[in-house]
Amino acid sequence: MKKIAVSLIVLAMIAFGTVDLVAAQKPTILPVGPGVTKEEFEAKRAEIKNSMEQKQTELRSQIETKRAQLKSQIEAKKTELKTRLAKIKDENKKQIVERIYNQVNELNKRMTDHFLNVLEKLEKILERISSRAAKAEANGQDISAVQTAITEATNAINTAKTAVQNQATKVYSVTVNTESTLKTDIGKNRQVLHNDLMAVQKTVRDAQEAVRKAATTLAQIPRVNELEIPTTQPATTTQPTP
Amino acid sequence: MDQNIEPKIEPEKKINNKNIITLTIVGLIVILILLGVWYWLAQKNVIPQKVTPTVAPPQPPAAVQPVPPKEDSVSAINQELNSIDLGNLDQEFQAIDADLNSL
Repeated sequence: MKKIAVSLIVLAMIAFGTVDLVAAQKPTILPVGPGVTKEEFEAKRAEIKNSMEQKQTELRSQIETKRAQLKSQIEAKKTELKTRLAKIKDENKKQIVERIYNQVNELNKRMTDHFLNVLEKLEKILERISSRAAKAEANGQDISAVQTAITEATNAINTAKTAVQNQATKVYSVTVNTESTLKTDIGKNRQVLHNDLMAVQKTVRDAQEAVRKAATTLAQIPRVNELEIPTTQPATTTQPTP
Repeated sequence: MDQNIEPKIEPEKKINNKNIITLTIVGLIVILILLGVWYWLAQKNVIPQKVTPTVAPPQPPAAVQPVPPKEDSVSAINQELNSIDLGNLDQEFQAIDADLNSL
């Protein structure tokens, strides 16, 4: 009973941790009031950029911490593999298996880092789309379609980030049964990593497409590139006192 | 009488030596003078170049630099989007596959 309770608490903590990470990243839509000045707009934009970069750094830091914790696990599995490889007589094959084990985990690290870079780029692009959309809004344009697309893209990026984070903290091992089944067994392990990375890549691609959709929707606003936030506040008319 | 005809070889030698030295000195002086004349003439022949005012060729009108697109313009956004490379997984697996095939 106690074990079940502890497991449930741990699961809940993991779930809340993930939800918290995703919930922290809201769509980067710049709020533009009717009388906002260029300076105010740029200040707000800088603030959003800083916040975005800070979250990116936090995520990287979380992943690196987890990786550091997993290092000992990877080493332990390597030692375990060496023991299991004792039954293989061919020394060359033993070396190859050990090399594949290292390559598999290295590749996972390399690809998850790459996906994380891509997602960071996508976030920056989305911030630019948001900035341009806000400028259009300040000039009286209807940007509701762009806002929807930005929200969808933000959600897609968050989904991909969670997938990358989960993938980055995985450790892959290789199976060793007999010398005759070595190729098949390790081939299966290789396929597991391939499938996992393909799944993560798909979420990143979906995020890219969502950002592209937001950009395409933005481009449909007439003369969108020419619209800017006015440098000074528009003159206010005073009502004559009766 | 015979005693009077005694050859005086020593003074003649001295005279010859003196002549050679004198001639050498004179020769050197002449050479120096010639060199001086040559140098003087050479300097004289150097005609000072007239400083002609150079008219700068008319500069072609400065080429209008294309204004870089704003970072949040649609073209810049699309350019950034197109530059993103998701990576080729099959290519990344090549090294593992090569090892796998050699098992």
